[in-house]
Amino acid sequence: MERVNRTERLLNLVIALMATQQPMPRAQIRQQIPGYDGNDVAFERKFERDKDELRSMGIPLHTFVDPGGEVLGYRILSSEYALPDLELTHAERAAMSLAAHAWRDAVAGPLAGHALLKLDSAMDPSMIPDTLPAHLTAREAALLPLMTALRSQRDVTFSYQRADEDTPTTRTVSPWGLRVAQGAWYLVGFDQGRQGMRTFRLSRIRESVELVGTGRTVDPPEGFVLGVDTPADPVTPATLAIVDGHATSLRRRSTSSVETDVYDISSADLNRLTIDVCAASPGVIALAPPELVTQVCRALDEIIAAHTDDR
Amino acid sequence: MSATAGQRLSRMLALVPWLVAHPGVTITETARHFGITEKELEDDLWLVILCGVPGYMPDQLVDIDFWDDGRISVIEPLTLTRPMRLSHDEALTLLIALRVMAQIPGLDDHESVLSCIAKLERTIDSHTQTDIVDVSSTVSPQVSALLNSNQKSALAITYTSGSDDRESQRIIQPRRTFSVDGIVYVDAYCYSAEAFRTFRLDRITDANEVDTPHEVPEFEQTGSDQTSASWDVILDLAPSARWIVDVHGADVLSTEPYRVRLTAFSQAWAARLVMSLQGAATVVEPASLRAAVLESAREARLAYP
Repeated sequence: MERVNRTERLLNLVIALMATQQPMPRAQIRQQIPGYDGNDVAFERKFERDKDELRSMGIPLHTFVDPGGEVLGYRILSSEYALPDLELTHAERAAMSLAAHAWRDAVAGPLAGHALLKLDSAMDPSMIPDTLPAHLTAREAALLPLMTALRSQRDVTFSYQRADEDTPTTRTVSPWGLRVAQGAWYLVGFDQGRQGMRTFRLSRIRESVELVGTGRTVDPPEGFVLGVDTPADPVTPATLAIVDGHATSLRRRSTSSVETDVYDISSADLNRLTIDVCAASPGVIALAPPELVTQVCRALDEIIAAHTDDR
Repeated sequence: MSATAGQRLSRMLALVPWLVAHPGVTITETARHFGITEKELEDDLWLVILCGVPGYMPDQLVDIDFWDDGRISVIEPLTLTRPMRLSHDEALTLLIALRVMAQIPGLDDHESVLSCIAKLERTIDSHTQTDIVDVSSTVSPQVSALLNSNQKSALAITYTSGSDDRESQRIIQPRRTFSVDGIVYVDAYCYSAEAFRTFRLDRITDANEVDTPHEVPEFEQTGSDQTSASWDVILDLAPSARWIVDVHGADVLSTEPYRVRLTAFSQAWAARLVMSLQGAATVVEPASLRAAVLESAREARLAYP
């Protein structure tokens, strides 16, 4: 029996299903396309695997079914298969090329490189500048399966290692979006175990991301916009004394300056504000509200205790 | 094995239409374009010309001439005249990078970046989402506008240092803007420091064009944050502070106690970091930093009851 290379069988299948005017029945595929010899079980196994492979590559392979539910055959429509001519200008090809090269050190590099070949925008390597205008360095293996999960609107499960916990926990999440911010990648989604929206740093996802179930259990709320913090938390007013020249970013947030060096600011998160005040101490003194003052005092006592030599 | 067959198929589906579009291209050029060896390319071509439509008579096969003078000519491509459309993930990776590029003020060919985004979005099915990735940056519109309008002029900027949160006034001559993982920077000659410096655009809080770039105003010394000197800081971390290992790329030296080493470029920065961790981080070394943190905390504590 002649062994037919699998790539050859797949390529023949693609060409045949694009060339056919009618949906091609299973029996005809088995009989005519080289490489499908063998018994019924072997054929079924190979053909199912091949269909899955082509569909996973994004090839629009359609199954045609008659009104009674009987499978008539299979076909790839050229109009759906082919990349439309984008009529890219020379400058646009250069921009596409730089965009693909932005990923050159990242997990999505091969994906972007392949897209570039299809668009016929690959530049001669000597034309690519050493210093790229944009560089995306994501090496997290989780990025690609998460893109797939978002596209197909599926839930995912993964092992997540919080920085402040010793062992990872398994999370099941309905993904809502990915963010790249301040040099890191994040997944935003609904954590089913914790019943709320959570943000996950991709570098803390351990092992592999698995797609689970057939759909997305929890969709984003109406009006959800990725990158905008929702919902707005209640805002607490606070008052700080800031020594001249210190804590610029806090001073810039102030809504009014009551007197010299005393600033009113509003904060949605007193813990966050405590951190900012501690970082800028002694250049900043918390005056109100009392909870903030208490938290800062406690933090300063902790810092003093941690650094006082009792050895 | 199946991944290899799929990847090879995918390459051949891109290869034939590309050869159709570039008649007479050489084997050498083609192999380089696709990032494969000439041997791999020839193996692909030998396999492609065995394929065709059912019947598989000579006139029903893909016909490619590649044995004369090292050049390749496609005589009969059958259905392989156009490349396959971009997969959603392929289009998305390009779109993410293009959106990042679109946010870089002063980029040479902003228009082409925008038209690429528009053309790519048209190729994606209308029902698939493209808003699933957010790349928004936090550069002030005023700074963006100045760098966009004329990158050649010198700018007087107010810059907030990342290390000690203090402001300085500088005059800079921007040379190049770029983005790394969504953070936008400008490489510039800093007249105030008389050297080239890299500034984060989101820390430039105010900017104005200035006509006389050689006039260097007095400026407040902001510490050593921009110098290249660095030193090691050793910290013991409680669980709630261990996130800094990721964020600042620290090396974990031991887990009991949880001791890490990180690189600091200024003492002011390191002190702020330790203070912000509210006692969950203890400075082990250097002693000068340990003393500085203790002094800052004691001084600050005096202001409270």
